[in-house]
Amino acid sequence: MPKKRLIGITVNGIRQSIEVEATERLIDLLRNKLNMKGTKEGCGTGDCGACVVIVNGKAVPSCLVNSVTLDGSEITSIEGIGSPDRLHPLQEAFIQTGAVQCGFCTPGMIMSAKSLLDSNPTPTREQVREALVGNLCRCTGYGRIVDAVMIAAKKMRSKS
Amino acid sequence: MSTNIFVPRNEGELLRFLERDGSRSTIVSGATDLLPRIARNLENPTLLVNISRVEELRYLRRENGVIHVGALVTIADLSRSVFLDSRYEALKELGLTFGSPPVRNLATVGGNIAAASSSEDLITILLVLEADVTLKSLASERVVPLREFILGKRETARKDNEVVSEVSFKEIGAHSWCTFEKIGRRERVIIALVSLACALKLDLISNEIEEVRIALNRVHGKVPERASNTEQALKGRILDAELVRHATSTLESELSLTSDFRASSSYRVNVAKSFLANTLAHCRGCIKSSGVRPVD
Amino acid sequence: MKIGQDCSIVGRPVPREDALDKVLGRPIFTADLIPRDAVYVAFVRSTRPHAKILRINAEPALKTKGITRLIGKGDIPGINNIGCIIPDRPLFSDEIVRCVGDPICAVLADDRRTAEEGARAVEVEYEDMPAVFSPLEAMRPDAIKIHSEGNVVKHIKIRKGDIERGFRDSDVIVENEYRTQMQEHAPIEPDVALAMPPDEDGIITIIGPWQCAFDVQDSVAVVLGLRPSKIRVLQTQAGGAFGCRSDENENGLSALTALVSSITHKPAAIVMSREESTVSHAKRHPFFMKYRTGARRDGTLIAEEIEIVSDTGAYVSWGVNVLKRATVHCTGPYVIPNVKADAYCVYTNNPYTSAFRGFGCPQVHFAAESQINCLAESLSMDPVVLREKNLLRPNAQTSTGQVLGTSVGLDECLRKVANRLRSIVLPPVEEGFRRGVGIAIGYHGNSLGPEGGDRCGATVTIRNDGHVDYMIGLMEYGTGSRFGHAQIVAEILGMTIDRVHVKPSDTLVLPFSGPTVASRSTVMGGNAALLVSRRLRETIGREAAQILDCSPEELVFADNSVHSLRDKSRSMSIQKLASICREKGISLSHSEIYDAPVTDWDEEKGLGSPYFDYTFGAIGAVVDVNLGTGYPKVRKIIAAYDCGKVINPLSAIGQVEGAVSQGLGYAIMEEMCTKDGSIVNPNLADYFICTAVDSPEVETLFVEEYPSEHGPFGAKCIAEPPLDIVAPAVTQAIYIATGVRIKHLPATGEKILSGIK
Repeated sequence: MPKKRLIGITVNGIRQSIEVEATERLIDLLRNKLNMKGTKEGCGTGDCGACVVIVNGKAVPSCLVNSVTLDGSEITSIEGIGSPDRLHPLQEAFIQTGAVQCGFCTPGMIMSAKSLLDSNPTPTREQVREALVGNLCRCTGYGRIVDAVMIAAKKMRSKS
Repeated sequence: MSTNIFVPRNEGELLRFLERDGSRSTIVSGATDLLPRIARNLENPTLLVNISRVEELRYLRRENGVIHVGALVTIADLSRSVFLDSRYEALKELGLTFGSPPVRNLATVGGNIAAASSSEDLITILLVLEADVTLKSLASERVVPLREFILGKRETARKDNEVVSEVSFKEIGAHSWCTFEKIGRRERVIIALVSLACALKLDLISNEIEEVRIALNRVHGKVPERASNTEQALKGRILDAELVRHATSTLESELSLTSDFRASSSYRVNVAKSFLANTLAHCRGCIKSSGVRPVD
Repeated sequence: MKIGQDCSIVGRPVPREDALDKVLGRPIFTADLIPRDAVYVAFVRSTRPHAKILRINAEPALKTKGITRLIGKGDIPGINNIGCIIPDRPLFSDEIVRCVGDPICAVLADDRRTAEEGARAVEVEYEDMPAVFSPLEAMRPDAIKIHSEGNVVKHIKIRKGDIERGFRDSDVIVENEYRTQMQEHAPIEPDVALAMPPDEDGIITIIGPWQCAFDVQDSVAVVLGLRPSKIRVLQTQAGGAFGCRSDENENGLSALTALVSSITHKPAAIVMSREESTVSHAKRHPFFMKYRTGARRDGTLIAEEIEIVSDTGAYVSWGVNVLKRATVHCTGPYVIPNVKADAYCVYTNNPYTSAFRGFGCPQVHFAAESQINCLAESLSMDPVVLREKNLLRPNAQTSTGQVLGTSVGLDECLRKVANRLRSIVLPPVEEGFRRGVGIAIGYHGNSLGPEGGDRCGATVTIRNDGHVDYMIGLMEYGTGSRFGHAQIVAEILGMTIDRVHVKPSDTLVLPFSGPTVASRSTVMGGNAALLVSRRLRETIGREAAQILDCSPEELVFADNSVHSLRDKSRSMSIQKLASICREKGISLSHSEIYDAPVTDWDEEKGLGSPYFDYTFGAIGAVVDVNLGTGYPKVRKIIAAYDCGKVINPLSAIGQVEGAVSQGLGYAIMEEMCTKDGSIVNPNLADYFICTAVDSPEVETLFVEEYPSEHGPFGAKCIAEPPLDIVAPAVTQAIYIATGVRIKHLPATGEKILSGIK
């Protein structure tokens, strides 16, 4: 049994072949192997949500994902949803409503929110809160975050 | 950490591996239980077998009045299953009450049952659905009732060369409802201090309880169990206020709960009684008002 | 220029500049900056609460693949002490460990996991000593001494008026005991530190989320035996702090990484797990409080006698300052002629406690406001009416004898909350629940007060491109107050906000700014920004007046340019003006230090004017209690705050809502539990902070009609005060709903249900 193996993954639209260790977590693959620091580690036990990314269309805590199982998977992280000149509506809204304070929970929060809007484009405020319940924020009290998601949802609906 | 890992590509590879190396390896799928334990230095396995690519274990079927849930079905997918109508309120609500959304997307039914860890909601609900656990090994397949499968905290009847391949339960039939309540220190993302699952079948005319099953996260041991004395006190009786009082009193004497830094035993007992009363009333109300007929 | 009227940027809800980096996930946090060749360091920590260290055996660790060496107190070139105020805390234990988690030594490895594993493999042999876990026990003369000077570190007093006479004059006396729990900051970013090896000038660079850059600089210098100027401290973006990055923990992390870095000549990093981070940093002081309150039949408060025992754990850290602030505020914001307070800061073998948002005010406000509610009950008076009768108004005298100025908007805050609670429409109460409403009021002295040394420096520079760089040694950990300073700079210089940039904080080039604590950033930092940008404006204004042929008083700075008031055509861009100044050798970079107004405090009597300003506020809570489980579901919070002029409403609302969220956790769910001095729930699975579902909608109202005489544009602090009074508002609501009065936080379902039954 090899201690390392090669996996083929698509990260933010780019196909990669990467060698990973037996128990390398997806968060380590992103942060260390791919040098993408946007995904944050707040607890390492799946309790805080700071490490949430989207794998094969589902929001998951990347600190709990075994990278070796990801062969053939599509991964989207915060780095993949917008750029400085073309911010995702969620990113724009988070800035505008004051939903960003320290920013540590922000990437995971935005990925969970994106996952929500991908499957439910017309959420209520309560549904937004339920969808973000696994993303802990110690700074904002969540009110402005909920505002931001509702505003982004409206904008995304009017675009499409 | 010098852990090694095997990722079988199909069921055959998995079962052959377990036959040879099951005794010295740890099975993991969603890893929502194991990785946190490794992170907290509670476990340090040398060999992992990650079964999340064994697609044969990912299915949800309805056959001859039995619902079959493959081991790799995630909690999220289970809660959204089209086979579960509103009668299965307990399972549908797992989509709100089990862990958090990202964890629900990763945690699997098989993984949760086989771990028998502190995340007990699913087990408690499946106990009242009288679920069976199917265990596959290279040479054989056997079915064990869930209540006999869970032996203790982190202890199950699974042999080293076996994998939990599915969980199954009979549909609960007409005029039935299955519900679940739990409480912790906050609204969501909690390991239950107290939880109670109930499956109730009611005669609509007479209000007679035709069938009742109740399980709590703790009854007298360290794992979820059925509250059989309380069930006996209820079965075949007319569901009215007097019966509810009698049942909660029976439950109180049936429970033997411990105190810890999270909550005292007397609080847990009081909440359990409150849950029972609420649950019986809720089930009755839902059965009466729902027009749901089981889909044939 | 008229301040306070017609501001173009100050007072506007401008989105923060630093939010862009954060939504893009740019690498701005300390763990994002660690170079690939860094050495990782992990502490070996005590597993005993009070013991002598007999032997340390590092062999098992050194055999673990990857542990390169052990670092112990023998490696410390300077002094083995990192204490903030009292030097009672070594970096590595001398011979005695005083709490579980006390650092004993450290190991090095090439990666984090190996370092953690290696640290656990180090064997330590202890000889247990008797330990004491209750501060009440620790106060007894026969208690085991945790430090040689005895367990009562400080006794703080208030003696105002004649307390005996006060109680004799009282028609009603209410007496109660209250307890508050140990609360954990739980910032989403765990503890982390990075140090870069000495450069060719021998300067070691320390990079991390430090609230107190200058304290860290001094502390590391002491440990390394170097001059402070050989230590360069960079404050990175922190993932929350709330006080847990402001004390010996930071000193220890930075000193250790600096030490390792200078020994190995490689970057050195500490990245802690959540569990270790929780064990490593401080907590909020549990308080044991006894209150006795006397009033006349008509509700006039006459006397209050208070005893506070504060558990400061194994090391005092900021414990004395926390208790000073708590004592100043211990009666709540009321006029009371006779006050006697005795507050004791006591060592125990529990984990150490120190600064946490609120800094003693949450504990005493819980007790003080609960007393007012009990009094209202005894007098059959409406709690709002009772408060209105006694609360502090402009020119009133506080419990420490301070005569307040005009910046007192408490009355209006209370009225706004009371009115709003009457008018809001909420979903009906569900079956099996009962609803209650509670209000609490509070006050919070601005900045450091009796702690002293309150000054803050900032630097402003106009660059070649006409943009302005602003620099201050205060940290950004979420509040956005530095961006508020940028707004102030932009306002004074007539620039658009996109041309004013807050630069990273670097002690190499910064004037002393003091610590980022006590909600002082907007007031002290803002005043520094105001001072320095006024000075710059004067300097370039003199030149502009000459060029535009008018008097300096006629200059108008607006839209990134300056023009003459009488003739708009006589104008010039700031960029052009700056380049002319540059050619003439006129300085375009200024530094100023703002000194806080003088305050006074008589320690013996506990009287004086310890804070130059107070922020006032009121909070109302609507709570539905589940009668079957006792669980308190908080449906709505209304907050009204007098923090003078609001520099940025977006940021200010963010602070109120964040403080309320932490205050709500304090009220109903947060509790760090210990068993024999060991933390039982150091992770986020068993320590509960509010999730998005637990947090109710919060409405915030600002009362700006009572501006401060001291703060920039009339501003006062806002970051801490709302946390102070959520708990008493919530527990009063629970009382109204159920008749159960919670005197021991948190107000859990269990406590409420046992009260109902």
